[in-house]
Amino acid sequence: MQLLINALIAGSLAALLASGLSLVYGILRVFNLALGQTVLIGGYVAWWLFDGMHLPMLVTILGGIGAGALVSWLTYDVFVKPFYRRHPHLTLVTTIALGMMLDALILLVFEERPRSIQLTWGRTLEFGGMIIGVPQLFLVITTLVLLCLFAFLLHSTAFGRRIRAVAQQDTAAMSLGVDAPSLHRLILIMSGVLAACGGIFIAIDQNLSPTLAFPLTIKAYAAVTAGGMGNVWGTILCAYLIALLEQLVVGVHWFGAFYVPAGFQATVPLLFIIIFLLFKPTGLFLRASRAA
Amino acid sequence: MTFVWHLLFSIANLIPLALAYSFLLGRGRVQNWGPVGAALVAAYGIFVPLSWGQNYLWAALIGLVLVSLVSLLYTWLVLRLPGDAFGVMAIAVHLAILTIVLNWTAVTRGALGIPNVPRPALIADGTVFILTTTFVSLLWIVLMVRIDRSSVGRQLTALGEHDIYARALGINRAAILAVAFLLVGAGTWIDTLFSIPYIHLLHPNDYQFPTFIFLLTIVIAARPGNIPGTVLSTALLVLLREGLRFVKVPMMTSSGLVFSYIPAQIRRDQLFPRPRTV
Repeated sequence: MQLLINALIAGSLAALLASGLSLVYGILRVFNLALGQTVLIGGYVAWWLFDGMHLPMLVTILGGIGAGALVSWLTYDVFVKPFYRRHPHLTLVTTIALGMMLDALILLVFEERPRSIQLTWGRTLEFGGMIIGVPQLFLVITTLVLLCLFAFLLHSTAFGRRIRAVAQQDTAAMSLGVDAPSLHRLILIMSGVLAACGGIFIAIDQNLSPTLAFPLTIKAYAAVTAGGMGNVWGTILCAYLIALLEQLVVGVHWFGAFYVPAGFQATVPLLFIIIFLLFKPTGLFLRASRAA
Repeated sequence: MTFVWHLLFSIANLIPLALAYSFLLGRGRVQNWGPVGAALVAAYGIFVPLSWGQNYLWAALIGLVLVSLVSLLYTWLVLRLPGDAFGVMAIAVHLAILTIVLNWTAVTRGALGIPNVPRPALIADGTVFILTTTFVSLLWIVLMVRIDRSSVGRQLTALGEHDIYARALGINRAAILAVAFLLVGAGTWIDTLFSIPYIHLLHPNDYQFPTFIFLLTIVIAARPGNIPGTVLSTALLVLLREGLRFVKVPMMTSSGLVFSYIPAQIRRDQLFPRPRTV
């Protein structure tokens, strides 16, 4: 059961990142490979505001989210917009370039040492043999609330309808008066906000380290691939599924004989990508679309 | 003078891989994002047996066989997957190989790498070693020019321009792509065979994503498929990379900007051209 709790915690983080990535892919057909760095920027800024500036937690969180939004804005206007209409693969190169620059910036400003936000209310709860920290419980619930808000925004508001219209056919949506280019920017910023929330999550629950960025992006990408490219809900479900498998791989005493070394945990998302691209490239939840 | 020799080695060592990769991307328009994964297999395939006391020649042959198998694996994948999916798959394969290397410590020594890698006895002297690398590189340039102008080059170009029409004309897609991938594999093998003994250290950090980005930049800057351009851009970008070591700008920042963003900005039409339509 403890593995389930661990999977819920890890899955919540992956779901936050992957849902934004999936939304961006679903609408712009762009993979933002600097997503992991956006996560870290959000987390590091929150850490700096909390630990360095001694600001209240709420301001810290807003600051981290603001930083993530700012980075995403920059990502869209400088590294995505001039390229994605020409060829979607160009943005793979440019977002990798941005990722490398942000990696260097993080190393320069925040250094290599692990950083984390130490909360005063960090006690643990125990029920039925399972242990979960209060901050972790808070983070899992916050993630679920954020994802529900995201669902409400996407499915029950005029803004969400415009997003879905652009996702289906942006030229037709523009002919009906929807400002697609602004929506594209806004969607990337939304994905940055979710990523920054993930970064703050890491800062509170684990340690921030400059080397985390690429594995985070890969895990989110695995969830997007398995859930069906552009299918936000399939992606979120697969993020939790991948987290569960990660926990099972290293947490189970296999055949009562051996444990898989923890380092191999990182191969689970990679295997997901390989298996799904080879045998079910549409993902688990994407329905085949009709074509003229 | 030592630094000049070092520059000559760095340029000569990279040319075989850059030319083979440029051939695959430029002529075949195949987005292979995993050549560094193949290089990783070549490196450990050669230098793990060597560290176990195997003869240099046998170790090199083991490496060549393993890198050929990885190249054939990539060929199989590219035949099954559309372009962008293959690109991502190649990244996944590269990272999976890297994870195995980092965690299979009993064989690879993990993050510690393999130190004290010797040079082959015949060319152990520094100058002779660099001149040998340069000679091999020159031979490779001649070979690539011949292949590029041969029927293989023309068939790969045809497949890159319009796959279905090319196949209708009788071109064997699997065979031609296998040749192109095996050439990239051979390029990585040559690169590895000389670069590791040159610094006497095999370290997994040298096989991370920035290594691939640098390779891609060389090819983009030259225009994919352009052989003289690739040789020239290898020389110029290696000089730039080595020069940037003396500038007080963090290496990765300048790398991201100089080696990825600016070339992508300049060559955005040639990098991923739209296929010709009738």
